[in-house]
Amino acid sequence: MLEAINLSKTYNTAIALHSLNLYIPAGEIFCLLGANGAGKTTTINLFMGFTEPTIGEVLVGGINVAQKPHEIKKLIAYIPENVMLYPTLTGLENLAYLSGLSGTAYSDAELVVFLQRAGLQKEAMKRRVGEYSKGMRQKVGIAIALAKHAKALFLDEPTSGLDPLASNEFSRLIRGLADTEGVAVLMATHDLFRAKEVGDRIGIMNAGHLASVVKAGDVSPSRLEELYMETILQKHAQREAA
Amino acid sequence: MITHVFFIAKKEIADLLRDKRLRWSALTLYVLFAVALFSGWQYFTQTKPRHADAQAASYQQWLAQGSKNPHSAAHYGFYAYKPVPLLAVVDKGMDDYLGNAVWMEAHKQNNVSNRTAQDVADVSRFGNITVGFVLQFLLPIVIILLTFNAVSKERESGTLRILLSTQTSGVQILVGKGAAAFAAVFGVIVLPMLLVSAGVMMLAVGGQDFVASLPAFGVWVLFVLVSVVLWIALGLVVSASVRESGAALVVLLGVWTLGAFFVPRLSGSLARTLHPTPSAFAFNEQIIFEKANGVDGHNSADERSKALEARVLKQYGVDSLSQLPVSFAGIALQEGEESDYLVFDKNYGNLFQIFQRQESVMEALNLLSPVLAAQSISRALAGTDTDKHLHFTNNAEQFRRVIMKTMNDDMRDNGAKDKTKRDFGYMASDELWHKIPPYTYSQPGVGFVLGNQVLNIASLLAWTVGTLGLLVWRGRLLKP
Amino acid sequence: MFKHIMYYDWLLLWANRTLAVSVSLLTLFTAFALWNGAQHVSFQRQTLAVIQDSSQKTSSALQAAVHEIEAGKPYTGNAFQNPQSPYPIGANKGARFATLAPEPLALIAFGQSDLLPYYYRITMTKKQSLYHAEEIENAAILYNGNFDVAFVIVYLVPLLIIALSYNIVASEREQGTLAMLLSSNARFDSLVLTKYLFRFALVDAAFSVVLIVGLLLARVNLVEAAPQLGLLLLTTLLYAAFWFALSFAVNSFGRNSGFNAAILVGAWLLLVLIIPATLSVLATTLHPTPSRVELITTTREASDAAKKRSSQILSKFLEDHPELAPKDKQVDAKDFAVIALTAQMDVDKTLKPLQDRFESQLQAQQSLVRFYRVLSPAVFVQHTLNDIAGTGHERYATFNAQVVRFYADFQQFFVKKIFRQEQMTSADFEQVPAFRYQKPDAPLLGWSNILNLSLLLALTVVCAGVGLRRTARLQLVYAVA
Repeated sequence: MLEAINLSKTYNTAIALHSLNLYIPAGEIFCLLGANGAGKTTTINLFMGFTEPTIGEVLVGGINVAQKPHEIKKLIAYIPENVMLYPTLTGLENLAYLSGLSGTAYSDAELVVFLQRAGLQKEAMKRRVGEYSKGMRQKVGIAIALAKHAKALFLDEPTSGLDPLASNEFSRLIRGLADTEGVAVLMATHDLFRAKEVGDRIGIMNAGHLASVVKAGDVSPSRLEELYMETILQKHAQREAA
Repeated sequence: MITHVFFIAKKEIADLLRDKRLRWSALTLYVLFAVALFSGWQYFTQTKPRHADAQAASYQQWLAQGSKNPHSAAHYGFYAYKPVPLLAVVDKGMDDYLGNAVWMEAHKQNNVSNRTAQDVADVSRFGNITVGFVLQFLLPIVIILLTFNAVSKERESGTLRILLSTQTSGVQILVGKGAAAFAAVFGVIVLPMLLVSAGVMMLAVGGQDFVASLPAFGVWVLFVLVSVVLWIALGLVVSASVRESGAALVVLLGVWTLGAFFVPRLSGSLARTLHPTPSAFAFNEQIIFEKANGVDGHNSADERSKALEARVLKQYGVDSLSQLPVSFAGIALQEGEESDYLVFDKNYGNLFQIFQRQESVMEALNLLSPVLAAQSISRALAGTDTDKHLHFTNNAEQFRRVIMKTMNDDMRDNGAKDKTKRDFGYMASDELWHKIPPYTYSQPGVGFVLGNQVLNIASLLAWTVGTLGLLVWRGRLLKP
Repeated sequence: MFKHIMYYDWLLLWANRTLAVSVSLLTLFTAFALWNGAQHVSFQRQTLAVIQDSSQKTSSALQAAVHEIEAGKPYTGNAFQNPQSPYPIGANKGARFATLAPEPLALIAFGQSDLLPYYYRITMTKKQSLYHAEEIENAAILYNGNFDVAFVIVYLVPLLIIALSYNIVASEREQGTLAMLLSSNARFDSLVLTKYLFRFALVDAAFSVVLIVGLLLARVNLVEAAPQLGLLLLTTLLYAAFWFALSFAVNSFGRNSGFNAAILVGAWLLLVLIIPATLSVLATTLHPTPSRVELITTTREASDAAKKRSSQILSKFLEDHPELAPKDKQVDAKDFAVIALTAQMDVDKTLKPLQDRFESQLQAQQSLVRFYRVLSPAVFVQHTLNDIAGTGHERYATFNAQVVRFYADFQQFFVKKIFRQEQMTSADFEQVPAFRYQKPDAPLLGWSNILNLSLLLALTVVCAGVGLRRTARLQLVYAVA
């Protein structure tokens, strides 16, 4: 579903991403781990066509993003770290507006169902988003993805700043989406525990390189942490040596 | 305490001098300043000699009348031209809309007429660029651009948190930033412009006349500085009070636009509606009517002339006008002038009172914006406002009255000496024309101006003190 | 899709009260402006009515007096005031007024109508007095300008447009919703364009409705003024479109809302103030009009000279105009009226070149402004609004030219009488020329206007094009970085 081929991105002289090769099939959740500036967000931006690659290709559902940046928007949904919505509109209105922009006009009843599936309390739907917590806004974000019947979902640090309960609920929702709807998920995160918890595969990035990829089921949490530290320190050491 | 302010100011000045905003806005301002100074200089150097020459020519024409009856000479009269003050170089004010010349003739107090604005392309109605305008209207925009995010920028980048965690108080931060902005604006923009303006003025008239204008110019500069301080304080207050930089900018630009464009038109239109001026036609008709029928409308010119005749005959103890040792025409003419003075004093008095009421409405609305008060003070000091104009008008009218009295008295005393050429047959000679000195007008002093501008000065100072007060208050409340 | 976007844009505008505030302010301003304009126009109409009334009365009184004399009642008054004698009639008592009545839509733009005379008292002597006529007005009010509909359109509508649109793109970025919009499959450029079009339609519709209702309330006959109203609405539409397009272009660079606001207000200042004021300096520097002060001095010199050689002038004049000599007698060279009139005609002749220079220089200034006004839509729109209101430079120039011609006709009538030593009969009073303003044939929408309106449209299209192109390329990353 999602594919990166020999993908590189440089900003002026700084290399943000270096020769990424990655394939994420439908129904798989791929978690990207890495320090700040490792290239996680750049990868997501490249997949969504928010920025163009310097070298290489990005395919979403077999469509080249650089060539048809608009086509692929039908297939994807995006949930940033902080889902920002129109504060003066209600959750329901925000969903109606944004899903409408994606081309489908749902009835209010249908929209309510999406919001419910995303876990938003019914009484909250008619309140202005300005009064929502971060978690509630994220649920609206998921409802938008649901309403769009997205085939690929991009999550950028979705659980940072959420309390453990909300974070857990969020993970279950994403898992459910992948399992029942066959959505391919690319999730960038700092949270090793959450990555192991929700992901099928985990990639560790460092300084623009995808350094290692492991199956979530194959590693224990402590092993994952070791691996993470090793990757980062190793690169660090290489840089020191150079 | 002072050292904190000093440290902040030092860092801020360095910041500002590196800031592209200051560089670009100063550059733009300098271009406009050049246009403004050029047009002010041109206005002054062209108009001043023109008025002086015309004044001299008018007096020469008066002297060269030859042998003539004094009353014919009174009808011929001469012109008074309003001299252009030196400070018009920096603030032409309303000169284009005020008259330039008045004909001083018998029986009539004429309006000071001939507005320059009637002879220039209509685009001038959009406004004129003068040095005063650059410093009072456009400089505030530059200050707004420099200050609107002075606090919010630090807040957004988080440095405010760090600053406040040192031993610096909010007031010190704001005062330091204000001092820096003042130093930068003054050093980079205001001071050079003032020096160049002063230089151009000195070149235009020479040292002596320039020195004579120095007090007014000095006070003018002082008010420019007051308005700079005020706008810096206002910019910082808004920047400290409004969370988002964008919103702070919009608020400040709103305040500025309100004052610079909205209030003047609003106040002018309101003033006209509340205190309407008569049409020139109605005004003249009223004067003609009152001249014929007396100020009260019950004392016709005929009756007055009969009464005067009886009184004069009795005074000289004779039975007929031809026996009088003096010219009755001379007496009657002066008497007529004097009864007309009542009419003029009443009607022009009413008109000027309407003008002054209109000005009061506008001054009251000037309170809404510091730009307008500053502008009024500036043009008053430059001598290009209505008060100065009315001062000139009254001065010229007093001079006209002296001419008329001299002519009529001469006719009275000498118009009966030759019995064959009595009254209008009497011809006066050059000697009489020389009795009238050339007309000169000297500009009222700074005291006169400040006296007339009390309300505007109070309004500007109130704004300044109020804003500085707010600055201290916001400084105390300053939170990251 | 358009409907969908517009509906939610409406909700957003409604929720943050921007729209309500803008439209209320616009209504308030327009109402005040119309009221102010209506006051001014009714003042002018009243003044003209009084003038007409008074000059009619004077004229019929004179006619009646002559009629009485003709009927056999001998005249006993001052010889200088004799209504049968043409000189006092032509020089003073029988003065005619040349007046310029306000047009139906005069209330929308004061234009030059508060500055330039709209009535002249015409006598056969003192042509120069035409150049000294002016209406009484407080200079401060003239200086400040007027709060008229033209001010609302030229100055305030752009500011309201800026307030309504300076952050259409920037606010999406600043509140973080840009990410959601860019990841939806609606085209972002058409989304933004729709928002602009919608707000433009709202503002223009609201303003047009307010204006039409206001004009109806001010009892303007809109059927009669339909072409003017049409041009007014068209000009406003294009001007508003231009500002929206400019805002779109500025927004599309993806900078923050403060930057956008500063740039837009800067552009506004440039167009409504700096360009016009610079143009004004340029016009007066390149084509200075002679000073009126010069006119005064020259007039005096000419009059003095004419008086000194009046007999010479008279014989020269009669050589040129044999038709004016009386049939069976000599022209009375000692007659006061003849002397005064020949002197006056000589002064008129001497002053003509100077007066022509006034006109030609002013015309040159105006042509320069007309040419360079392409630099600022504000100047051009102000001119068009003045033309619609009938308060622009051109109409007053036409009026003045007609007044000067009328002065000549009026003088000629009395010259014939005086030189032929004829008396005024009661029937003659009907023959004295009367002034009637002739509307020039030029269409309301002249070539220059069409050119400028097209230019405005072109600017709008260019700005909107830049806006569309750049919005399509707008990227989220650019904002984050």
